[in-house]
Amino acid sequence: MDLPFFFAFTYLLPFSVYHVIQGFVSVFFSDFAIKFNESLYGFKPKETEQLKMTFKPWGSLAFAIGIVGFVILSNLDKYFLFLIPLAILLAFRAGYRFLYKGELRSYWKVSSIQNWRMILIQILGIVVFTIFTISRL
Amino acid sequence: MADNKTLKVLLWFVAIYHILIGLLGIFAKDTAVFIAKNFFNFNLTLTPEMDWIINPFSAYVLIFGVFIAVIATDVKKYKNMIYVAVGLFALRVVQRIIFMISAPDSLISTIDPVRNIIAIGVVAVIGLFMFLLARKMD
Repeated sequence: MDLPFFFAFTYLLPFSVYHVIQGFVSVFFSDFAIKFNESLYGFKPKETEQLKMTFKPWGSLAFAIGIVGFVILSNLDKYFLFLIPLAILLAFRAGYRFLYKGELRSYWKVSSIQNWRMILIQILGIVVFTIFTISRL
Repeated sequence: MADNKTLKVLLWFVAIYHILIGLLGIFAKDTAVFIAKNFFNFNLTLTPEMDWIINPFSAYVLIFGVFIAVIATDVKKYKNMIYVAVGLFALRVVQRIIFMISAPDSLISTIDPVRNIIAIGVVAVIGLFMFLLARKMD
């Protein structure tokens, strides 16, 4: 069994679904997106007017990345190079969560458990995507 | 063949633009107000919420640029990905028009509206060219 393939596929599928849903909700239902992110990550923002406007361009990028994920899934061996930017994206997101962990807890009311859970999920993705990419070079 | 070269040049331009904007957002966050005002017609105030959201947002912009750079390395092989980028361009054009029409006045920058329309036009033309060149690809 091709384990790097199995793990990359298994991680990329929910990753893509998540980005398509997150993107769609952020672009078309920015009010709901606030609640969606609160229930998913624990974020409790105070100022939301600018945030809702920013969700739209950010959501469209997230949506596009979700679609890219599905294109990669259609042929992982052909599109494996695109996993490198996805791993970099996860590295940035995990890095920000680590660097801003104090602010996330005090201002955004994200619990340490919620934050570390996301960091671990993101690190797992970096590992899985990197191993698969190396296996195909 | 010449069309493929034009497409590659266009893709590299799009890639470098996104990578630079992403890097500025990540490593020079104080430029975000200037970028939002001049590139996106958005009157940004750096609240704690915005200060945080710029981090992942910039990372997504940067990564989109890297995606485009990967596509540019082999436009034939990654033709399907070009259509995803074109779709994103189309969505952004629609969003910017809706933003111009419906955003609260406090969030729209005081920059000349003609400049904003030109910016939207440039995004639309680049997207259209990418689409046509991808379809024509030999």
